[in-house]
Amino acid sequence: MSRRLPCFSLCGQLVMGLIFVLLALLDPFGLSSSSDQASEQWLNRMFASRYENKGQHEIAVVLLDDAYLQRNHTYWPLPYDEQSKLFKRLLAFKPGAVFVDFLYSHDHSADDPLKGSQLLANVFDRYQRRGIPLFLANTGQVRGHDGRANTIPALTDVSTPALVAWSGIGERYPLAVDTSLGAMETPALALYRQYCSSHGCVGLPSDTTTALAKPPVAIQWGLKVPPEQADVANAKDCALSGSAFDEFWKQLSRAMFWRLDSNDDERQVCRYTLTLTASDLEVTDEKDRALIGRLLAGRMVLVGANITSAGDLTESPVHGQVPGVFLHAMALDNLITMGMDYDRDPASFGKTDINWQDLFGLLLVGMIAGLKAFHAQIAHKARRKGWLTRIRLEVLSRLLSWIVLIAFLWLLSRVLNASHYTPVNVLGVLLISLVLVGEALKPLPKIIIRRYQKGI
Amino acid sequence: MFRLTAVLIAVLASQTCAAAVANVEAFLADPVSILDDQGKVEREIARKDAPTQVLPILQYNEALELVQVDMAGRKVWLDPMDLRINPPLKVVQMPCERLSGSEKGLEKNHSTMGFGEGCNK
Repeated sequence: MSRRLPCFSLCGQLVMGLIFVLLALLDPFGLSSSSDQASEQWLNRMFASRYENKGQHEIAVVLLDDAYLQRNHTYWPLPYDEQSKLFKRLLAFKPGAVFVDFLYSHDHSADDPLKGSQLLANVFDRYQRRGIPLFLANTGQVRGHDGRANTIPALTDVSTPALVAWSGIGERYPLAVDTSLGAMETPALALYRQYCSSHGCVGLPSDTTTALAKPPVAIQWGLKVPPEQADVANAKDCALSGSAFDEFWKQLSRAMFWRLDSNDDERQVCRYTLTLTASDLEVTDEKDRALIGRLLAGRMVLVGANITSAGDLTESPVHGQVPGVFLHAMALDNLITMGMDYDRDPASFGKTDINWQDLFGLLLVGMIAGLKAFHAQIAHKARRKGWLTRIRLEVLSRLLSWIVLIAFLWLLSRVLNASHYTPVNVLGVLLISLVLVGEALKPLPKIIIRRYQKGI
Repeated sequence: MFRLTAVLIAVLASQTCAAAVANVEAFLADPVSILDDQGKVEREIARKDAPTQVLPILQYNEALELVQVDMAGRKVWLDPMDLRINPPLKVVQMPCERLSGSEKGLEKNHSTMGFGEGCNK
């Protein structure tokens, strides 16, 4: 009976291992994906403080907000005559290139020449004449077909389309997508091409078809507010960012004790990209105009909206929900900062959603299981030894294995980060590895009590 | 009653005069776009070829932010952003709005904007 036990135990462990592998790879109920996402978001926050600011000097966002509508006694969607004024003002500050994150799918005033889309088209035409590339949001769908929406022809004629709608890649940001209108580039790549035309970039896809083959970007968000932001906005409510080490501990403690932290007065994390409001473009004082000119001239400018109930919001692991235009801005920032070596997921095996990183995760969990079994054997042999030997073999050796495992995990994450691959599920592995710590601490009270009894 | 009417006429007349004395003092953009009354570019001229003398503003289209001036005997529309106008047509201070970041993440808004009478304007 006792001889059969190890076999039974081994078979049981193999079955359990097989079930675990299936759970990890097939991801029923999305538990594994949720854990992957939580781990990735946490690491994104951890790495945000040391994200380089190369792209930050090249990009600006102009936000059309409720305050602008109220100040100008207008409404949303903004009438074309109002929009023509906004883009006319922006043109005067000579941006390097402009992406407009508004979808002009309906002409509300087609019969009224004083209000119709032609007013805006006239201004967009001026961008073309000045040699300032202008990209307009496009869904990549045939307008009017099966009730689908897309930019009206009057505006596509005087701009270049940039794809803003895609599916099937989760939180990732594609460089180009094959749509029903043909292969189209997203705003980040379209603007990156403009940036590269004056800066020179390595590995830039030669055309849209080549860009289709490139993996989507796993966006790394930045943390530090640009210093010039304080020139145009009141930044006193923004959280001050400390050194990378300070931010690391701040993020770590926030991630661990977020349920205990109900301090509503805490300063907020302000946006990483230089942000101007549409109202800033209206300034009339010459010094103010010169300041806005310095901030916008030659930059890649993305125009978006932050209107209550308008609905275009995206989730940033660092900032929470932000207007959707910041997703394009951050993807562009990643391209400018890291070039075509941007962070990405490893390629999947065939048509599955499984890649070698998943196998790496399984390998790490396998290592934990192996170490657990190894230490169980050692502990079994050491149970009749002296208390000091038992502490060494049952407690310290397990803790040492755990430390080695964590060091390996940290090293692996650094290597993957340096290779621009998304990290493995660090949190998942870390939590499972706590089994070793639990096993290490379990015999400690018994050993101490026995030692105490012997001592008496 | 007579005094009040006189004052009102004087105020209105002074505003008309003020509007009439707004002048284009300099051309800031290069090239300068010559526009039609809908803001469509008719032609562009190099700044060096633009008039150097002060040009009185004949009309101001506030809805499209365009000004009309007389250039070489021809009435044309210009973009005020390309010009230095004195006195300014309007004065807007830097708003210096409070910088926002993640505040949207804290609040939930379960509504969709309704399009009211504004869309029919």
